[in-house]
Amino acid sequence: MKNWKLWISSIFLLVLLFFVFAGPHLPFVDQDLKQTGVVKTKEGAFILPPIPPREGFPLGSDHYGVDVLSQIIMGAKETLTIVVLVVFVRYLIAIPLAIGGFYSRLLEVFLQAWQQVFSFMPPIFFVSFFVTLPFIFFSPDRAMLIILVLAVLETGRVAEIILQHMKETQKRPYIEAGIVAGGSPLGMFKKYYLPVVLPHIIILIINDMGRVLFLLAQLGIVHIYVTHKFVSEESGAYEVVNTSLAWPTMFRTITADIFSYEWIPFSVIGAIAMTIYTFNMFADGLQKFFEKKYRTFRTDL
Amino acid sequence: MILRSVLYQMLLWCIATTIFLALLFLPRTADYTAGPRGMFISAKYDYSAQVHVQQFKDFFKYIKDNKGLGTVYNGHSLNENILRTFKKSMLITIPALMIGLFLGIAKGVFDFRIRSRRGKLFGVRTTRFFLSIPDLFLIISLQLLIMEGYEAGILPHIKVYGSEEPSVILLDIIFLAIYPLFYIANITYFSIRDEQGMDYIRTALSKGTSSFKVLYRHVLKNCYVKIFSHTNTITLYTLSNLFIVEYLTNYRGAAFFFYETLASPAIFRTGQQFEISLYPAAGYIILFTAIIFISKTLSQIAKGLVSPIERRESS
Repeated sequence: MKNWKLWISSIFLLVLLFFVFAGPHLPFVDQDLKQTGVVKTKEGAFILPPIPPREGFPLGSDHYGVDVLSQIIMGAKETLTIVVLVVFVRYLIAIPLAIGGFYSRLLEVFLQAWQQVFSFMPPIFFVSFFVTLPFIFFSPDRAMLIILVLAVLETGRVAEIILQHMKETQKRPYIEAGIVAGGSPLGMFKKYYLPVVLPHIIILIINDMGRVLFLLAQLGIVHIYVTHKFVSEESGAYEVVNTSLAWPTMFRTITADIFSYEWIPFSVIGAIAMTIYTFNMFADGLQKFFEKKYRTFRTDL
Repeated sequence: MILRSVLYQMLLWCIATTIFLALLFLPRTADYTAGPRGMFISAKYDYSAQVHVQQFKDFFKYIKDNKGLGTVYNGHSLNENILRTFKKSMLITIPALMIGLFLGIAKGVFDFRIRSRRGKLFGVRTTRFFLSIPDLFLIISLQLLIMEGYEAGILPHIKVYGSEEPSVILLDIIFLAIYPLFYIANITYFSIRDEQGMDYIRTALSKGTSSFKVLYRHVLKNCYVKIFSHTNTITLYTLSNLFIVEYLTNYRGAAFFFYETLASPAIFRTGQQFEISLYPAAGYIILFTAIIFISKTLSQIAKGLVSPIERRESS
């Protein structure tokens, strides 16, 4: 019970997963996200949307009269899917690159160059560069391409951290013992490196999920979303609209909302903050757990 | 030693800027496939290396012809305009980074000294907590609190939105400094912890030096190397965050305009080409990467000056 962080965050995580999968079927969640035109109070006054938090609208409603709480719960699945996809692609590239860099000097140089060049690029600049390129903007696979861009953005950083960790492990005396005992490179990797490196990677992955969600939230504020659609207008022009339910899309009108309809941005950022906090706490708890299990002390941050 | 690493960083800076510009000058013309009466069906994009190279050539020719980046509508030269907005951004970025770095180290030392005393809840736990929640949440909450506080009559009228208000500049500095501060505090705490049990600390203590002096004179000096190697992370983060903070407070700095030059259109017509203002964007790119280069160089120099080990090696 000492590792309370792990326990509490596990419960939070379960609650989150519950909302992702069972949330849409809960009684207080409006599955169709129907728009409410006007609400009449008991005193006979009329309230036009956006409706402030009140009975029937626990977190208020947005500009179309759609319940914010329902939107958040319905959007959870999509948001987390994007996050998981980005992290998955990122580590799919980073792990082989890091392990390759450990054994091959050439790959290591490549990795360092990648990391150094990317360290000159603030993430939001980099993403906003790509989204306007026509071949991404019009591509039917735009969502996938943006996920790829988001993944590549920090692949170098992640690979570098894993590589450094492996190098630090290499210096430990027990590795020498393994070599003296006649371990083959493959055997050494499986039995000596992997048990130390794998927990580290798991913690990194969970931390990265928080980071990606945060980046998505930031991008949402500057109107960069992962999915969008073109809708024709009366004038013959096409409007780029966003049909997604993902959380960051609810920041669309944040600069206006924050003055009078503060419950909209505040609920969304609250949901995002809770989720990120859960991920980070879970990673902290896991780290403590692995440290105890493998009796490694903490040498890196 | 220092000179060599500075030259190396400069080379990297040139490479990174070239890659950035190459991305910026990617040809952005799309071929539309239109249905009857201009109905949008699809758009195709063909990359042509020739156009790409031509864009580069045009850019350098343009600079040569105009002796700068040209003029904008209000008669000011674009150079002046970019520099003015850039200065505005730096007015909030540099203080934020300094506050983040120095207060962060102070907070880390505080966390370490209080770690097993009463009030340790305000130590490393607080730091971890603030690192774990996104600063976006804190920014929005703070803005709301200030506004609610005024409505409730507790706070005087503080402007949280605007471009020239001193209160906005102050708030922006605080917003930008939140994450670097706690990040550096965390790094400082753990690097002090890692130094524990080293021989030099025992030697210093056995000679009768007070633990306070040992911490500041001996331990921290060894920690600076680790701390300064993270300055790039916080600079990068702060520049990225500048977009958000400037947008949320309507502060018209460089990031705000840089975003505007790049923003994707909300409405388009069939056949419309996605022109973005290339030249201002190019100007901003060079300046922003320059800031990262300067921060990298400064941290290299600081490392060399502060660390006892590096100093010995260079002499």
